[in-house]
Amino acid sequence: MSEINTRGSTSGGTDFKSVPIAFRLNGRPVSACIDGGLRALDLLREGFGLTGVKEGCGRGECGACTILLDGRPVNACLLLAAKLEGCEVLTIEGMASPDGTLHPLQAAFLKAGAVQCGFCTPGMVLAAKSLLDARPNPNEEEIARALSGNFCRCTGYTKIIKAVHLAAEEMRR
Amino acid sequence: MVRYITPHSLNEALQILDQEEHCLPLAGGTDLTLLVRDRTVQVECLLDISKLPELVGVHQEGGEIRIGPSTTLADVASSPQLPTALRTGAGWIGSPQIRALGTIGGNICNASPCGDTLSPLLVLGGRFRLRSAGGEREVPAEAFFLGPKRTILTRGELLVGIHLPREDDRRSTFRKIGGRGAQTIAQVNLAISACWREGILRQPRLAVGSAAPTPIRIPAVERILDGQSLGDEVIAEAAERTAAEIRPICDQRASDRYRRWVVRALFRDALSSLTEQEVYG
Ligand SMILES: Cc1cc2nc3c(=O)[nH]c(=O)nc-3n(C[C@H](O)[C@H](O)[C@H](O)COP(=O)(O)OP(=O)(O)OC[C@H]3O[C@@H](n4cnc5c(N)ncnc54)[C@H](O)[C@@H]3O)c2cc1C
Ligand code: FES
Ligand code: FES
Repeated sequence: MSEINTRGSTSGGTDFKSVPIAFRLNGRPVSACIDGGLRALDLLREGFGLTGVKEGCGRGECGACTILLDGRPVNACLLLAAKLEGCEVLTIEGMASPDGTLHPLQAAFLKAGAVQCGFCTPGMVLAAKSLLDARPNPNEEEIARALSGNFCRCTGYTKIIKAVHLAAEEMRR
Repeated sequence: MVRYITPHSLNEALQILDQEEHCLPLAGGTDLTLLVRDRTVQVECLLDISKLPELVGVHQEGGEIRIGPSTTLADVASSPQLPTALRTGAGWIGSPQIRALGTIGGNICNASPCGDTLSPLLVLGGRFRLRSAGGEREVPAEAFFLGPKRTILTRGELLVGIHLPREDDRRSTFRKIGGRGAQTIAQVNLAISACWREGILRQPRLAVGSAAPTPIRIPAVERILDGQSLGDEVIAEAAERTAAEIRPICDQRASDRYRRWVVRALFRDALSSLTEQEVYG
């Protein structure tokens, strides 16, 4: 994989990172100079140190790499970093308030015991956030459908669905 | 090193494709990103056509519906003016994540025999408009696919429009079987459209995906159904004929025998849901 230069200059005179991009990452404006073939997953993890973006399958199947792009869940492993240009990106690192208060979904996942190994959790929480932002009071089927692109190998999903219900209740208050 | 170009207009995009030898159009990238990364596809330059205003959106124009190829699968699935079969096919692709990024044009140009928008487009009388720097042509959906991952697109040519005739009394439906409910590549998919008036089926069209090297229409079954009132015998004959007409491949996802067996059940299910529909779809 090519090296990422998040400061935007090209190194050593060779123009390997040919694409300048600027976007908002967890509420802050950022910029980078990247190769056109680089994945958003690699830029976020290695360029910006956001290791909450997990790589499971690397092929769009497991959802561990889910981020919100302009509010919609996408697989960062299938997303070219160049596509971040001009977008608003949310990763799990941007979910809690700056003072550290957890987002109601994060709190609900803890309360419902919806986290075991935790590898799927960032993607689950983000996919659930995009659902609740659009539908504050989803039924179980809608939750299952919204999370159908996110695999969990530990919990058996029941507690995850319960956590989303809990968070929805909390957020409607 | 891969260059990445975001053109501002369709004309600019076509000029670039004309001039650059190793430049590939990129829509959502849900198919192409992996190929570039695995180096299955050698590419020097990617041309991002996903945000070109000329290629995005669903528009009604006279007696036609025009879908921009860069419209996402999520938007296709939730466009009420589109026929049921196409909305359902798009809505069953992958996961919410895949549908937010992937486009209908990418699904078409990727030309996988199991593409879930393809059999719907075949039964809805879909026509594709193709354009290059040199000119434009329009072809029926059936004429576009040559084989797995092979289409009639020539170098420098883009799919620029998907056209459906607006037929208010035609209904349509889509069915798919995969390994599980969500996030599954079709082992078989099937679309039917027809006019259903006073208990008689007219001008039926049937297409099956994942059952031959390209998605295919099945005219022999369409002839059996045309003008019929759909008694048990006709349905049984048509279901048998559907299973006989497909040319399934045997791959890691399903055997030939299984695909023939399942296509009968999908066919019966699709047909009954079609005749139960109340409104235009
Ligand atoms: C995990 C996973 C699950 C999936 N599940 C399904 C499924 O259930 N059913 C299904 O049908 N598909 C499925 N797919 C495949 C894929 O998501 C679709 O084919 C998608 O519609 C492709 O659209 P895209 O915009 O991402 O295409 P891209 O990857 O951007 O492009 C695909 C190809 O089309 C070309 N292209 C794109 N637009 C044009 C144009 N306008 N003119 C000319 N060429 C063009 C590109 O050059 C490329 O060769 C799945 C993929 C993944 C990764
Ligand atoms: S790592 Fe992206 S979907 Fe599995
Ligand atoms: S908690 Fe381990 S994969 Fe979900």
